[in-house]
Amino acid sequence: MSGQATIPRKRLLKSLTDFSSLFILFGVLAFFEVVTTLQGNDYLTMSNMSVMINQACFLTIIGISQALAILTGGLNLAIGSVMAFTTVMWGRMLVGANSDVHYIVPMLIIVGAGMLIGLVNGLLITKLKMPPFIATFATMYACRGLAWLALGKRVIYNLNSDFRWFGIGIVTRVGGFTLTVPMIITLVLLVATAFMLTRTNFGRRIYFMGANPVAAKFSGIPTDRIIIWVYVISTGIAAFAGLLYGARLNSFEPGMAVNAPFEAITVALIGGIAMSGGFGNIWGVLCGSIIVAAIYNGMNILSVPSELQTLVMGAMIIFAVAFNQLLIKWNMELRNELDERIAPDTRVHGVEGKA
Amino acid sequence: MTKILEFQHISKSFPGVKALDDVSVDLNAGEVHVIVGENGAGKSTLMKLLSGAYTADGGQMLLEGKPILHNNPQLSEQLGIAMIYQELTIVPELSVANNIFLGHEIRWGIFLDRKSMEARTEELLTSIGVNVSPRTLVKNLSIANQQMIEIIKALSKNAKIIVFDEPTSSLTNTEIGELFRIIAALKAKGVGMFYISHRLEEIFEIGDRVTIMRDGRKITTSNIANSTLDQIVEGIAGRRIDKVYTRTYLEKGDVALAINNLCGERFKNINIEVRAGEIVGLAGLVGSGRSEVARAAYGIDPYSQGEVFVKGEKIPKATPQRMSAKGVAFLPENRKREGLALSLPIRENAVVSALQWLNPGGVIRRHKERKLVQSFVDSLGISTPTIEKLTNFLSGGTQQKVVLAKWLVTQAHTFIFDEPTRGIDVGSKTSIYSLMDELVGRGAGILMISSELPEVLGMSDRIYIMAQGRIAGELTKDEADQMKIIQLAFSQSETTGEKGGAA
Amino acid sequence: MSTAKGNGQGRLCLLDLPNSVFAFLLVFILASVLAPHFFSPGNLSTLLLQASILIILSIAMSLVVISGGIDLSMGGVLSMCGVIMALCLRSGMHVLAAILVGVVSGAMFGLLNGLCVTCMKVPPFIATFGSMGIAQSIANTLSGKRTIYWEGGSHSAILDFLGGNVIRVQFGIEASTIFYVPFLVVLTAVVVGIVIFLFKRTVLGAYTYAIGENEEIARLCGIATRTWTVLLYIISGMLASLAALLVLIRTNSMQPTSGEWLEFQAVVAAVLGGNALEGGKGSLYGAIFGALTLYVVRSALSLKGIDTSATMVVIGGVLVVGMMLNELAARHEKKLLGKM
Repeated sequence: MSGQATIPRKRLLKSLTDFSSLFILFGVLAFFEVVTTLQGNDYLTMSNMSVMINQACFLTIIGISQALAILTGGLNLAIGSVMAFTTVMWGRMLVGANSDVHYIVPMLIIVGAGMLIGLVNGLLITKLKMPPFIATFATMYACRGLAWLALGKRVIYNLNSDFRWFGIGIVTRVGGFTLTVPMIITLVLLVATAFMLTRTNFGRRIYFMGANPVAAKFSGIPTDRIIIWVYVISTGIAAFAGLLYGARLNSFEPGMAVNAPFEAITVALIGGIAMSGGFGNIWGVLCGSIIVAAIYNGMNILSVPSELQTLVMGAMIIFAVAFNQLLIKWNMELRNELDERIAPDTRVHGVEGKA
Repeated sequence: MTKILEFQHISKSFPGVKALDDVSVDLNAGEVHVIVGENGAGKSTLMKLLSGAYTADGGQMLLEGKPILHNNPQLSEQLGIAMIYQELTIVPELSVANNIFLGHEIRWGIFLDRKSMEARTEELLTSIGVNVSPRTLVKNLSIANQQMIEIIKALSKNAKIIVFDEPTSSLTNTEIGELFRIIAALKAKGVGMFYISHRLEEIFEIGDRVTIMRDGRKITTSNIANSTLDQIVEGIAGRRIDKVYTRTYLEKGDVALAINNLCGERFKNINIEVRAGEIVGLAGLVGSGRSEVARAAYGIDPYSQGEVFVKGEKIPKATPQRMSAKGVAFLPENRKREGLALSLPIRENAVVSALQWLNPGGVIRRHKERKLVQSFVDSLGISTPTIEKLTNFLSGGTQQKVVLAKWLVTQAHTFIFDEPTRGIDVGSKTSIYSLMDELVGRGAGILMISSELPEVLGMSDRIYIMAQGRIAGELTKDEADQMKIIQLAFSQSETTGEKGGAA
Repeated sequence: MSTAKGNGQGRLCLLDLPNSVFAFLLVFILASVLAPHFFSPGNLSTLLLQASILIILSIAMSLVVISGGIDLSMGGVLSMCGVIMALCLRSGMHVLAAILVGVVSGAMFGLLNGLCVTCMKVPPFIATFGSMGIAQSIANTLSGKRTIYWEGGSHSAILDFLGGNVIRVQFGIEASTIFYVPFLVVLTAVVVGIVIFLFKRTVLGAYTYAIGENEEIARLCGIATRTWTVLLYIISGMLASLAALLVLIRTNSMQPTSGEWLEFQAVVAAVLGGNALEGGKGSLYGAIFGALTLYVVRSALSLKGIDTSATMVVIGGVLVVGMMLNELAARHEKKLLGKM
């Protein structure tokens, strides 16, 4: 066993590669810290970090929505349109004057409507066997069209201030750091999703199905039902994101969040969720959205023109995915090597041949 | 007779397995040299050396007396060696002519010379008597004709040696007749052919010589004319039957799984009964519909008529979910594709079918799960340092055990094994067999589909033999022997039945 | 076997036409009956002119999709190449030189996509999704997010000529009775013709199908799969730049956002045309009819005075129905084959 001595180092490497997107995050933060400091600006201050994280919250939520679909091997392009359609349809109930219903009622209606659209997505994918790309593209188009039909060029604004608390409320200030309500909501949603994915039967089945849909079917997993549920939840979360978005901007409009599905794809992929499904950690989505927020924030501080920001993001996606792929491969090899060396004597058989 | 190819003392090892051990085989021009042996006997490895997919550790290959050095797929093709695999390598959306010349088009500058390509294709097609237009899209051809395209593709490159790897497995009898006619035509042209098949009877129809392989070694090479089916079967199986298969026969229980009058696309009126405490073999030629029956009964493929009963209870429309919920397990032939999620660890694979039962509340109890999986890993003898090991890194035999563990965790009472030991080395095979025996010992019922006769004979209490999509007969373990099974497997065939009977 | 040939081919012959032909005929007849003035020379001419940009893009998309990939950067590349060409024209460069610069930049982007897919092993969806952002960003930066105009003159005379009509026949007084064939439609026909010609008459088509069907098999057949994949993305980029030229001539200006959403419409047209996203299946004709179907629906609805928002909803529905048709046809075909 000549390699014995390197085991601790390999173990360290392995745990580092478990979160490939962390590397990117540190790299991004370090880069902007250095460049902004050279320019005499502040970047990594408490207050700026809270701004960054607050920006990342919305991205994280739509990222979770997208990551769920991607984990099953699919995609949800309907995210932004659902946000617009559901809030435009029932958002009037959230306008300040309409205080006869509690604001929780329209919120529930909106999320429920989102889940129904998710059901349509799920049925198109499972029963009509449409590729998720096409199915959710169809609902994306339809929802956006319906939103425009419902409201035209008008805007729903001046929302209920109690409701707006969800989007702009502040919990506490610690030092320069402002802890906002969206941060708490995002954290709760992340913990809940992480719990669902790693600690429940449903989550296990999602991963298994994403990793090998054929084996999932052979193993008696109700694959259709799981796909339908995933799209129901994913689209429901999207509608919820629409509420938060509106609460922050104090308005709902049919043209909102056109790029949301793509931003969601971006943060999910940078966060290490594999496009092929069945691989990725939901906390990576948080990491991915902080990376994206940090880049936008840093570029704003450096006053990089907004047109160029898309360029950086585009390059970032390609780079991050290539990087993540490499790291995942490395991680798996390290893992296997470590497994082999953990306890050679506990093996029941000797070396078994490769057939 | 000129010798065109010679393998001399070839050896090839893979980690843990000696795949080929001092094998010497030769091939004459205009000869069909049949190679038989169980799965894992080394036939495919030998052929892959020829095609350049592998390189040998020892020994050499001589082509027309000259050694082949540094073989690779391109070189092998240039040397006139062509392989015809079981899986078709055609592009369905292209025409016959385009498929045949794919990668070697006849061109005028950058433009395709379609006329010459079609003319040449026509010529090749008529030369072996296939009546298809060169312009037909290949997707519109029957599977047999698609296979002909593969052969013609080999001919278009002026192949001197063609290797057929189980070419008849997906063909009907008429189509097999057609294939044999073409092989005869090739023979007349002086092409040397290696022919790998599990259908032993075919050998007598088309073979000139037969080489028997077992466990990576060549047993004998003999002229077909001087061989009998019994000799060949004995050679393939060796004397391992007694020591490999462990069975303790018990009193049978109630009917665990009953398939009544099942009809589907490739089978008709199937009646099968599996009782608790017995292993029922489902034998028959590849393509006779064995796997199809099992897959339909498990609800993977649709069936048009018939019923499936589990423990006397009718399953309205079988689906894998319903069947697994009723305690029926399915262990597919292709474990990597159909059995495991390779990017997940043993633990997650092992519990995936039992999640509902293990965690009725929907929340995973991790401690319980770990303990349970560890106990199955121990009792099944799964050789792994940890239950967190990714299944991707396990050997074939270990992977099969993980699939088995998956179903044992669900406390299934009936198991359908589709080719339980395909691609598994001899050592692990034995342990799979003893596990199967242990299962029935504990009152489970097993339906075992297998193309390996010794396995069927060695393990089964009862054997159903399928031929052409029907149950041709049923034998108890005392009645059954290789001759009877083979006769039944060919009982309804028109083209090869005579030969099989005579042999 | 020999008997299977005779009856089998005859029956399957109709099915060999892409399904979108039937979908197209269906919506075309419906539109002609239901929408006033739809089936008028003027409207049909306009329809063809409007559809031509998407037709070029969907042909390019089909090439990539048949090979098992996808090119989402098309819209971005269209905007970018258009802006580059417009800027060249504004600076007084000769039209032909400007076009050359545009086409070369399109090809460069295709090369970038292809290299990402083949060498960096980034899935096509992601690689081209990323480069969509990059291309759009370049378009926005170069143009300052403003529409670019240029002064006409001798250097751009060809553009004015190309903006005109080849034929113009007036059947009556109203605008709808004027039948015209703009040069742009002819240009589209020529481009499409060349691509289809190359697809059928060189190894391009065969290799595209082979790579899409199974890259490993294609490689074993001796096809340099990586090179061909890169080439397909380059062709796609070049066609996107030609589509940009059409936009440029039609509007006599260039907006940096012209390409937005066009890549998705091209995917929809390709998919409606029977090109499976998993690759190996489909046809270029199918995509053309897919694109035409979309424009027939659009034109008919706008003639009926229906809001463009409702058009989005209807197009979503058309997509679902079209996919159902494709699925049904596939099942039917399988059944026919099973019986042979």
